[in-house]
Parts: sequence; C-alpha cells; structure tokens
Amino acid sequence: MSPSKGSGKDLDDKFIDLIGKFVSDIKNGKLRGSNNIALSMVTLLETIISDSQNATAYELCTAVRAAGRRVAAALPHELVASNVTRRILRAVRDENRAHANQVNQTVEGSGESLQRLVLAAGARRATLGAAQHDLREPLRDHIAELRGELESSVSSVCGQAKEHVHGDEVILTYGASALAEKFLRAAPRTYKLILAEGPETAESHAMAHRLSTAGISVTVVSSASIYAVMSRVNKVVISVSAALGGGAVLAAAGLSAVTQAARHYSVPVLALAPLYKLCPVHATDASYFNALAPPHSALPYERHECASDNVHVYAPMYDFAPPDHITLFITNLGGSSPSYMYRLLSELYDPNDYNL
Amino acid sequence: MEIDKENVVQAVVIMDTFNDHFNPISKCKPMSLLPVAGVPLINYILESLAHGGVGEVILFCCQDGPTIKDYIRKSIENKAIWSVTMDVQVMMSDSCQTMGDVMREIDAAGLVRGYFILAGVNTITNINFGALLEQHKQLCKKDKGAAMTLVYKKVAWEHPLIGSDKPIFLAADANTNKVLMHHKYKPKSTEKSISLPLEVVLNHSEVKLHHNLADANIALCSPSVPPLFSDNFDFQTRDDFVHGILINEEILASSLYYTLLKGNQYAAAVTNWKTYQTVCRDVLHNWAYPLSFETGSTEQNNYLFMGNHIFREKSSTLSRSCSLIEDVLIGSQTHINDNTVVSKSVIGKNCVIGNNVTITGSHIMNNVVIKDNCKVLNSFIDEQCTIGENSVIENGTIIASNVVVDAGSQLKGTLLESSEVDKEKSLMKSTSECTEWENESSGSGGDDFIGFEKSWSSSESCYSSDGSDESSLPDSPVPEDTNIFLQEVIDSLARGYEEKLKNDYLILEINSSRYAYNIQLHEVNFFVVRALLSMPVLAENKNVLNTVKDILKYFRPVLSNYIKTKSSIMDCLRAVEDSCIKCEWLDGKSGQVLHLLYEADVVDEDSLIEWHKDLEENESPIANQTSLVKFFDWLEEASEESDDSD
Amino acid sequence: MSSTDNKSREDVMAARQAKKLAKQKGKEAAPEQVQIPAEAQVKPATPVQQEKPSKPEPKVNSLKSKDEVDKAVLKEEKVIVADKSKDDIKAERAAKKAAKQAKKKGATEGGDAPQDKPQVAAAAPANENMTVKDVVETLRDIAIVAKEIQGVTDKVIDLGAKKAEDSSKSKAELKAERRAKQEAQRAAKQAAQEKVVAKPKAEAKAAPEKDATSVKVEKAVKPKSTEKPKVKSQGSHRVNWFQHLYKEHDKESLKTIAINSNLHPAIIKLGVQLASRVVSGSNARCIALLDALKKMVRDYTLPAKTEFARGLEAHLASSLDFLWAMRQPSASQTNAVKFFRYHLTQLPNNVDEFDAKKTLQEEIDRYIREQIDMAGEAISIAVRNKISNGDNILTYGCSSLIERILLDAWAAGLQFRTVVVGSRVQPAAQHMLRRLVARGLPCTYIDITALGFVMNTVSKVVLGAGALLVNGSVLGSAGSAQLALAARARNVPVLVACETHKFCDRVQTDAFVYNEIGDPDDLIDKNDENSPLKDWRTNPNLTPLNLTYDVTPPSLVTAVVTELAILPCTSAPVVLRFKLSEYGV
Repeated sequence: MSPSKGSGKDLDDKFIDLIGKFVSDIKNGKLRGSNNIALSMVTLLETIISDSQNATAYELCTAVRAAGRRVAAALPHELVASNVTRRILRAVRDENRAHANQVNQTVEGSGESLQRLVLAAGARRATLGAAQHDLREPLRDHIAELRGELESSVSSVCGQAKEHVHGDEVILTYGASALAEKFLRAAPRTYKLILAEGPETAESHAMAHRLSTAGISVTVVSSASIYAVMSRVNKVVISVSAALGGGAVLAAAGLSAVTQAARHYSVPVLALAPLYKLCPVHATDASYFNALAPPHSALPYERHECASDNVHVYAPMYDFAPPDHITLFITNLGGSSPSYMYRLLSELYDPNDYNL
Repeated sequence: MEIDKENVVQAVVIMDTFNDHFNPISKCKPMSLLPVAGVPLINYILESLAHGGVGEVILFCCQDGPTIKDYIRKSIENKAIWSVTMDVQVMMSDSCQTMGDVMREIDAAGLVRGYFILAGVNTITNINFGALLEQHKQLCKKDKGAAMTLVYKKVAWEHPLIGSDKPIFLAADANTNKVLMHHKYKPKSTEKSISLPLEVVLNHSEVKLHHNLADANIALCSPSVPPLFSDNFDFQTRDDFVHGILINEEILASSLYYTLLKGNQYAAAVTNWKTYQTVCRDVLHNWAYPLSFETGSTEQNNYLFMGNHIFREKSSTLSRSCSLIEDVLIGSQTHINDNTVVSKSVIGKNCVIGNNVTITGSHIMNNVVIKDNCKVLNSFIDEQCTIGENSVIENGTIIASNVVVDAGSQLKGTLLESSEVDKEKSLMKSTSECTEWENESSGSGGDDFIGFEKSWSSSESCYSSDGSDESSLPDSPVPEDTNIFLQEVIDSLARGYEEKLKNDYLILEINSSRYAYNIQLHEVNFFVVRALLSMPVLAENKNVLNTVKDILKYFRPVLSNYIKTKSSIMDCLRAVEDSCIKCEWLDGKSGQVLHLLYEADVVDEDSLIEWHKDLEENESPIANQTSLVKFFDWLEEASEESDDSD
Repeated sequence: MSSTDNKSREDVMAARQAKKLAKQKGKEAAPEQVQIPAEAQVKPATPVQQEKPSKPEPKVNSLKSKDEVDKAVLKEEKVIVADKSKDDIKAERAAKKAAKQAKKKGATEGGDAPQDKPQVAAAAPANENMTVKDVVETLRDIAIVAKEIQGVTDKVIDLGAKKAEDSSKSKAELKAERRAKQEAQRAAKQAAQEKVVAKPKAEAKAAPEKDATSVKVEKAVKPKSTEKPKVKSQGSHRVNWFQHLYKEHDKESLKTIAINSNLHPAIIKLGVQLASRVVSGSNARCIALLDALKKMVRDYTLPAKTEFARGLEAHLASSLDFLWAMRQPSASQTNAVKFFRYHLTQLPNNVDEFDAKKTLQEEIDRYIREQIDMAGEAISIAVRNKISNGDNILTYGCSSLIERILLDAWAAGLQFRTVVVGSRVQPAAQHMLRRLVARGLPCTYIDITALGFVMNTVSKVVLGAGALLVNGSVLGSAGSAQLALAARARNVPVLVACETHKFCDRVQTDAFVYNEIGDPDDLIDKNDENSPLKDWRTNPNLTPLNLTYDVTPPSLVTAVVTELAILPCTSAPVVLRFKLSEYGV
C-alpha cells in the first residue's frame, strides 16, 4: 500500500536539507516541546508544498508523505511530526476531492459519500489520479487553518480547566509538562496540588516551584509515595505524550503507577491530549515504541555496580496506560471518553495515511 | 554556516592516538574507522560535536588521510545529521609523529581563530561542548593565563575505565579548580605513595585531591595553546604539555584548570582493548545517550530491543534455537544458526555464525564467517575473517582482517595477521601473556581480556603517557636517562654560553628536558652544577679557573634559580665533588672552585663546613686534596675572625 | 473573699482551657504530639518564674484573658467544622468528659486518668488514648498552677496565634511570624526552668504509670523547649492530613541528653543512632534496642530497698521515653519491649539482683536468636522453595531479610535474576544492589518509575515489611504498595517476608493514620546545587512531603512468609494470639 521504501527518491535535495536541519534542530535540543515541533513541521511541509514544481494531488501526497517518512525514520519518537503530516495529507485529499466534485457537478453530500466509499476501498493512486491541477492555492488556507488550530490548541485545552478543577479539590499531577502546568494555572487557584515528581526530577521541581510562586499550594511527593497519598486525591491530571487510537495513553515513565493507583482508589484521571497528539496506533503495550533513556536517573554512573558485568540498569522513556485507566481525554475540541478516540481518528486523518 | 566566523565554535579532532595499543587492527585501518558497537569512532565524535553546538571541525590526520577524507565525503553525501550544522575539514600531514607536532602544525597554519575544543578521535561523549567552552572563556576573563581546561569524568575507583588505563592523581585548588599537581601513574606501577609538595597545600585555602578521574581526552583550549606548543619543542603529548605548564607555570605565564562532568554527562576515551570493551558496553547500555549504536545513520529504530540489552538489526535473522543471553548487538543481514549461544558480544553486519557456536565477550566485525562448533571467548575478530570448524579462540585473541583460521585450530591470546611471520612472533609473545593471566584473571571473561591487554600495554612500558610511546625517547633505564639529561643540559648551557642566550631560556630548556626525562629536583640541581663545571669550554681552555669564574658569573641567574635552599646547596657541593673527581681539568682545583662558588655566594659557609664533614666521614678521594684543605683552613680562619670581630 | 472569687474564675478558666485543648486536638485531626504536651508543660514551668508576682495583677490579666479565651473558642467553633473525622469527635468527647471531671475535682485527679482511658482505648487506636491522656495531664497541670492566670493568658495568645495561622494561613502570616518571635524568646526563657522542673516531674510520673501511652506524653516533654518556636514557623509547611505526624527533625532534642544523667550510655548512643538513621531497618533497630537494654540491665544498680522489677521498670521507662523521642518505635521494637517487660514482671518479687539480671539477659539473647535469627533462616528456606531456576525476582528497597533470602538461595545454587527496585529518595536499594552484586548475583536495577517496563518479565515479587498489622495490611517502606499494585495488575505473585516479631496489634487502613515524615530535604536533588526546591522553607505554598511508610492492603498481597508458615496476611490475628499464648508477647 505504501510506495517504495526509499524515501529519498521522492524528494529533491533542497527538501532533504531542510528536513536534515529540522531533525538536527530537534536532536540538538534547539527545538523543544511537542507544540513547537508540530508548528515547525507544518512550516516545513508548507515550504515543501509551495516549492514543489508540479503540485497535483499525487505529487504533493508523495512529497509530503516522503518527508513525513523521512522525519519519522530519523525521529521515531516524535509522533507529533507524523501526525501533522497525516493532517496535511488529509487536507490535500479533501482539496482534491472538493475540486473533483466541483468539476463533475455532483451534489456535495452524495459526492462526498461516494468518494468516501472509493477512498475507503481503493488504493491511493486510483483516487488521487483523478485531478491534475494545482492545489497549492486552496491548500494554503487549509494549512493556515491547521496552524491556527495548533497555536490555539493549548489555550483551548487550558480553557476547560475551570470545568474540571474547582476549589478545595486535591489534584495530583505527575512529572513536569508545559501543558499540564498551563492547565493548572488556568484553573481557579483555590485547589491543592500534589505534584509527584517524575523521572526528570529537576523539571518537576522547577514546575512545582513555579506553580507555588503562582499562588497554588503545591505538595511535592516522591514517585514512591504516589499510592500512599492517592486516597486523598480528588482528580488526577496528566499530560500525555501521545494518545493512541484505542484510547490508551503514552506518557512519561512511571505513569502507569499513577493511573493504577488512581484506578485502585477509583479517582478520575484526566488526560490532556491536544488533537495533534492523537496518533492512529493501536497498541496494547509500551514495548511497541518504548526506547531506553540514559539510566543516569536511576543510578549514577559513578557507582561501580553499573560497570560490573552482570548488572543491567534500565530507564525507559515512556510508559503505557491502558484505556480503562483513563477517565477522560481533554482535547482542544472538549472532553471525550477513551472509547471515542477511534472516531476522532477517522475524522482527523484519512484511513490510507494511518501508516505513512 | 551563515553565522559569522567569529562565534562559531571550533573543534580540533586529532585522528591518531600515536600508539600501537590497537595493533594489528590500527595498522590496516585508521583508528577513526575502528567500530565501537558497530559504529566507527569518527561518527561518535562528529555526532557529539554537532550535538554540542560545534560549528566547525578540523580533523587532523597524520596517516590514512585520504581514507578518512572520502569517508567524510561519503557521509556528507548521504546527509549525515552532523553534516547539516557543522562543516568539517580534513587536514593531512604525514610529518606529524606526535600530538605536539600536530599542535605546532596547527599553530603554523593558523587554523584556529580563538578558543577551541581539542578532542581525540577516541573520545566518546555526550557533553555540551559549547557550554563548556563558554565556561572556559569566562574563566579566562578571570585569569588571563588560563590555557586549558581539562575535562574529566569522575568514576568509581574500581571502574574499568581507570582500572586498566593509567589512573591520574590530581591536586587542585578547590575554589578556582586550578590544577596544582597532575601525576600519572606508570602502568602497573607499584608506587604506593605520592609526594604532594607542601606549598601546594600552604598556598591554597582549600585543596581538592582526585584519584578516581577518567580522562576523556577532551580539553578546552585558549588561543595561547598552539603557540605554547610551538615554543616548547619538547611538548610531545598533552600530558607533556600539562606537566610543562605545571612545572614552570610562572615562566610560561599560563595555568591549567579542570572541570568534572555532571552526573548525566558521559565521557570516555577508547585507549586500549579494555576501555574499548567497557565503552562498547556503556554504549549498549545507553549511558552515552543520545549517542548510541545507531549514531551516524539518518534512520533510527532499525534495531529491535529484546530485553537484557540485546539488540538486533531488523534485517538480521536468528535461528529459532539460538539463544542470546545479554548485552548483545547484532548487525544487519547477519545470520545466526541453530543452538548458538551469544553473550556480551557485538556482531557486525553480514556475518554468518554456524551451529553450536559459543560467542562470549567478543567483538566480531562485518562479513565474518564462523563455522560450526567454534568457541569464541573474549576475542576480537576483524572484517572478512573466516573461522574454520571446531576451532577455539579465546583469551583475547586478536585477528586482523582477511585472516582464514583453519579448522580445529586452538588460539589463546594470539595476534593473527594475514602474514605468517607476524603470526610466529605474536604467538611467542602470547605465551608470555598466557602466564600472566593465570595470576591475574579472576575467572570472569572480562578479566581475561584485561589480563590480555594489560600485559599488552605493559609490553611496551611507556614512560610519560600513552601518547608518547614512540615519540618521547625509547625506553631506557633511569641512570642512562639522567646521563642523557646531563648531556642535554651541558649542550644547552654551552650553546647558551657561546650564543650568550638569556638565562631564562636556558632555565626553560633545562626544565623542559628535566621533566621530559622526569628528573627529580635535587638531581636537577646536581646536574646543572655538574654541567656548569663540565662544559666543553673548560676542557680545551688553559686557564680553567678564570673560565669557571666567568661561567659562574654568566650563569649566576641559572644557579640562583636552582641553588636556593640548603638542600640544593648540598646538591651543588656534591656536584662539585663529583665533577672534581670525574673531570680531569678540574683535577686538584676543587678548593679554588669552591672558593669561586663561595665568592659568588652560591654556597654559604656552614653548608660548606657540613659538606666538608661528611666528605671526611665517607673519606672521598678529594677530601684531602691540598687545595681543598687550604680552602677550608682559610674558611675557618675567616669565620673565626668574623667571630671575634663581633 | 477576693481569693475565693479568684478561685471560681480560675476554675472557669481551667474549664475553658480544657475545652479549648480538647477542640484544639479535634481540629488538629488526631493527637498533636508536638504541641499539646508542650502547652501542658508551660504551666509547670511557669510557677518558678511566677513565684513572686503579687495577687492584684492577675485580676487585670484575667479580664483580658477571659475575652481572649472566648475569642479563641469562637474562632475554633468555625474551624473545627472544616475537617473533623470520627475519631476526632471521639477524642473531643472524651476530652470534654475529662474536662468536666477536672472542673469537679480540681487538683487531685490522678485517679480518673485510668478511668476514662479504657473507654476510648476500646474504640480508638492506641495513640487515641494518648489524646485523652494528654488532656488529663493538661488538666492536672492547670489545676496545679491555676494560681497564675498569667500562664493561661500566654496560652490563649499562643492558641490565638495558632488558630489565626492554621485557619487562614495566607492572611495571618505576619501575625504568626510576630508570635513566633515572641514564642521563641519565651521558650528560650523557659528552657532554663524546665530543666529544673520538667525532669524531676518526668521521673516522678514515669514510675507509677506502666502503659506506653503515658510514656509518650513524657516523651514530648523533653524536646519541647526548642520545638515551640519551630511549630509556629513551619506550621505552613505541613500537609494538613499529616499534622499529627510531624515531628521536629532538628537534632535539638539530642541536647536534652545532657540533662538525663541517669540514662545508660548505650541507650544514649542508640538514641543518637536512631535519630540520625544510622540504625535503620526494623530488624536492625530491634536488635540494637535489645542489645542496648542488655547493657542497661547489666550495669543497672538497684537503689536501696526497691524491688528489682519496679526499680528497673522505672529506669526502663525513662530510657524508652528518650529513645522514642529520638525516633518513633517500630513494631519490632515495641514487641521487643513488651517481651522484655513481660519477663521483668515475671520475676519473683524477692529475686536476687544477680539472678534477675542473668535471666533477663538470657531472655534477650533467646529472643534475638529465636525471633530474629532462626526466624530469618526459616523464612529464607521457605522462600527458597518458592524460587525456581530462571526466575526473575523483583524486590524493593533494602531489607536485611530479603537480602539474606536471596543470598542463601544463590548460595544454594539456584539460578535466578534479581530486579532491585529503588527510589531516588531512599538510597537504601543501591546499597542492597551493591551487596548482591558483590556476591555475584545477576541483578537489574530500576527506579520505581520504570516498574511498568520490567513487570511483565518478573516472575515473583518478594517484599520486606516494617510491620504486619492485625487487619492484614502490610506496613512497608513507601512505594511497596505501588509495587504490589503493579504486580497484581500483571498477576505476579507478591510474597511478603515478615518474621512474626514484626506483627503488631495496630490496625490501619491507609498510610495517614500512622506514618513517619522523613526529612523533607531528602526530596531535594543533591547533585544540583541550585535545585528549585532548596528554598521551600521561605515559600509558604511549597511543601515537600517525604513519607517513610505506606500500607499495602491485604488484597494486594498473595501471602506472608513467616517462620511459622506461609499464610494469607489476613491470618495475622491468629499468629498474634498464638504468640500471646506461646511467649506472652
């Protein structure tokens, strides 16, 4: 279903250089935060689209797809980038379809549905081959729209804070996350926050400090005493690094402990997942993507145990929480239950683009 | 790089280690292409430099320049990540034999614009060079003389990184991190004690002593460093440099600092087989994150993680019945057959491992074929080798590329190269090593490997450091050494005397040669005087005493530089004694010489008397020389006079 | 005339005082060990300084004090409603009763302390009695020193301050600060006198009262002098569900050692070791305690014409006060003490001193040998039979018992891998790892955050325990509950290894009722010098909380391995009864 693996051939060199720049920026830490990555990915794809010499739906699709694939190969853990790519692809398809509809004056609705049928069934070439005209113009506003959404998504997620957090509640959050922090700031300040430090201790502490100076009463607990305090918690707020198709969640290591404890005390768990974090992957286990982080966080290199031959020290990057641990996803379109995520998927992406 | 040249961070990578620790492998391919965990060393350093925000890299190759050059060209062609943000230029000069030469070359060519990072190709690190260099610059604002900041990683004392490599003893001012003393143990040294000069402790409110530092072969240099190298022709290695600076700090008007890496920063240098193995393991265990065995490739996640730090490339094929225990890396297209057991090993690309093979603690490069029922323990097998059936290879055997080991052969700690001659040689060498393990190896695989390479590095008992094995003079027993030193001092003094050089330079020369042959201070005092009195001028000259006189006059500063304390005076006197015995031209003139010295008040009276006493005690041949006796009579009178005068 | 009317007013004051205290306790959600006794103390302290003041001035104060009191009381009414749990109410009721009695009987009422203890004791856990006990103590004190209203007003002011602070932190910050200062000075002044007053009193009381609760009251007495100011300054840094647990970490309390000349050096040493966590781990603590006791018994010299048991008991009580002040007793320690007391009481009245010492020391040795050493062996055998080759055993933190089990199993030639789970705050696990690795066991080390990552490869979880409670829940070091939960989620069996001498008759359903607050500074990242948390003391909103224990519900534990048998942990009561019949402990 996907064309030949050699992603290089679909792209000309200047694009490849662009992508290289993008990738190295992320690798060298110049570019941080999923939201920024998403935005700059959009910019990257936009340039690719606007600079590609013949912009029929098919060429664009191949180019964008190739770029997406290349980035995904270089940064397998920046799922956001590929999500954005899918969004753009979807835009291309829609445009193409709309155009096709205009050409053969069919009624919108039926045309849509027909197209849908075809799309659902047929291979990409079949559906895209139809139109042979420049899509750049119409795509531009699509992309602008998408960018707008990305920029606003954080604020719109945080906007819902009031609906979920209110006075005199005890909220528990885990680890450090820009999104969670904004969300908690947006909520009325009267609640009490328990911040369980995640694997990246320094950031968690920094976040605790910032929030407390912002006038929220923060209690910092170590990741070991989450279960102990959970029975007093009213809600758990976590920010995810990816929301998976089945309603499962991928987030910082140690999350599963939190969600398990929450479930054990049946405390509701709110997962902050702006739509660009929603990726069409159905997994039942973290091992599918999991990568190893440097084990310094667990055991300092100075200790000679870690040099001894029969010791292994692990520090995974992600942790996985099954759908039934999550009570509610808070996307920028409002709350939605885990069981509904699959639907959002099919609204955001085209089924053909699920795997780039 | 659009950024203006000035604030682009520069780095110099020296592509050779100037030692043969990795023979015969390093003979047939450049060090920089030696794969660690399947990735050539050069990729690590380049990647980490790029990651550390370095904008411009100078790769300085002393051999196999072309190979490296087109390796770089290739990787730029297929868009290696680092190639985007960094521009890399390859320098070649076959003349350079040591790091010192390289630095001089660089100075001559004026390659570096300002502060720069100096790293070895064998460095593997994930530190942020940019930040560290900035730190060094700040430091230079405070102390103009700051020449170099050495980068160390603190590790446990038992840690293999320092356990096998020569450990360092470092004394530094705790407040400023200024290095005060830097002492490198000789390999397998039995020395139990280190003498820490008292003034080190007295002059500084707080002094830090480090003994468990792993040297990552990284240094942050001020612009003054290359000139320093050119000025001091005898700086061969970085350690020479360090010692040189420390010994005559005030003369060179430059000082050294050091910095320790934080907990989450990794830095190590591949200096010998043991560290090679350790670093491989660390890379597998992801300590060097973001560096990994996927470094240098644009694609990632081509390796499948199978628990216990076992990774296999997606395209590699394992038979159902083969078992991987732990710490295994298997390259692409490699096939492993039935009932084979692999543990703690790295297997390269396109290898074929037969049935019932046992591989433990070994490193197997690309395109190696190992036939059935072999045993490979703690060994290194380079590319394109073929190992015949039922052969046993263990105890740190090293097999260079393109070797065919015939079936059923038993190899213990041997070095195999394609040519038979070497084989013989290495075989006999290996026997000695075998004996070594018996008392060294504590059973576990890794240790045999140490045992192997320990004996390896000991086989050439290098003097000051890894780097300077060939460069600094050939190994020689200490006495000879001092003779050479004496000779050099004499030469330089003579030259100085003829060309009327400034004394400072002479002192400088003496010092540098002093430490080059590492001569103790009192010995230096001794030899300087000795040299003064045995200068060729005296030999041919008729009127010895006058010459001695104006020699003394001329070299007064030199003398006063060395002959300060009581003990040094005694050294001086002993030197006089010695020279009076050895040099015929001073025969019987000891008294006069002493008188001259006395007048030039190099020596003072009580020390003279003291010296005279022990002369008589160990009745030395000159003790009852008329001139000497006369001198001392005169001396005593003088003293008496002075006594009753006051 | 005036004196009598004085009297009546004083009674009123006393009564109010009592009520206030009771509510105070109610408000503080369970017995506040730090403050109440402290206050109780002020009054015995004051007479010394108040000896001289002439009658007239009290009147003036009294007026002031009165309305102070009312204000305070009113304030409380509001606050109490906020968070009042069942047992609080109980405590309060008990306290009120006590208060009434106090009013009736006035000064002499040592009698009814015993009376109302049982009532509450029946209902509420051990430390609940304590509140009541406190009140009674307090009342007695009030009665004694009712002469100076001065003292009372002081108290009211304190409470006023405290109220203001507790109820509305942010608002009354400044006020609290000021108070704190005053308090500091006063405390300083008093410190001197207490030394005079407190000690004799302590000894005097310690003798007659046998039960551990009274011990507690005394305990808090000693460190008090330094605590009072601290309480104020740090009040804002206390997670309010844990108010009852906070104990000053400052080593000030060690200073009071000097006063207690009659403590045995071994005890003092142990005290310091406990306080500075040199001796930690329930087994180690237990053994250290017994050892210290042994030394104490050995060197004990019987005062003239006192019965051995009584004399030693008195001595024991005072030393235990000191120890418990240093660090709260672990279940193992309390059991050991019970055992010791039991054997002390078993001694015949006319026993010869030498024999008595001999028997006691032998008993102690026996206890260590049977209860700890042999028990450990038995358990290690039992667990070994549950370990099979190729297993992947996961354990948490550092437990001497677990270490022993693993090493034995390895020595017995079993091939297994150990996954040592540690948490950043407690380095103990790293020591465990070091010891295991030193013996050549293949180990995997992970931080507790990585649980989900390894759990699917783990075949058994073996945990140590601090104590096994009667209701079957396991009191373990913070995090073990999390482990058990994760294991349960993966259906991995969880074995808790726990000698029966760690069984204790407390019941507890969550980690709040009883816990120990570790040093908050441990949360701060040691290896970065400017950690954002480091200035938490100056930031009223930021509170690092470092719990020492958590409670694993029986539902998450597959079985408890004891030296007697491998049991479901719900059968803890059975074991306790059995032991009671067996050893009388």
